[in-house]
Amino acid sequence: MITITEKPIDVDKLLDYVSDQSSGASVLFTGTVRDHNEQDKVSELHYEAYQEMAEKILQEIENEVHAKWKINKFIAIHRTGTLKVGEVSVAVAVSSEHRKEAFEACKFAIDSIKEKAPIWKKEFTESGTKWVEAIAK
Amino acid sequence: MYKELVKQSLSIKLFASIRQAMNSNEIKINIDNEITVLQMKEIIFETFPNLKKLNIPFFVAVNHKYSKDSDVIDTNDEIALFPYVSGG
Repeated sequence: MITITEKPIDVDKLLDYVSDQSSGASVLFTGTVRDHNEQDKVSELHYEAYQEMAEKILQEIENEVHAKWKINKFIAIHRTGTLKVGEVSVAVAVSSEHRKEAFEACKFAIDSIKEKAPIWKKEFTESGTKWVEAIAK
Repeated sequence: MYKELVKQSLSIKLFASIRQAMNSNEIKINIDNEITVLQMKEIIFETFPNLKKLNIPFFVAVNHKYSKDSDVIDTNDEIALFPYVSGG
């Protein structure tokens, strides 16, 4: 399951969603807003998404995960809008029979989301605002 | 008889720093029936020299997929132009 939402991410609910009696392992990744980037002190981040495309890309990533690993359940959520330091901006949870598949699938999913999902963040710092855009691909 | 060439309007969605710099969610260009993504980029730069001056590396998405310069588009396609992504 995948979601792009403005609502706060409840990580406990993600773990509840992926947990089932046939899974011996659940892996949860959360990305949170950090209080600094390089030298700048960050107060909040604003996330903008190309919603329809981001949903399609996340769905493709989920499909790819299911094709590559034997996992039981998968959920990925990315938040948009303005987030304060410490808030969860992205979360991925995966369950599988044994831990190896869940760890690998979770890492692949978050790496793919960061590389492909059309979502951007703008930093609010003491010196002003700045769009964060990766230089190299 | 000759076929009349009618220019059609193509809308291009903008996001993040490019949207902010252009102060608009969308730009429009005039195109012939079908063009490639590369031709579209050339028309965008001719029509909006200030966008070219921004010099922000960008992707073009066609119908929610990352495009290649050789992809052929027309006014029925959903086109978006956006900077390198930074989610997470």
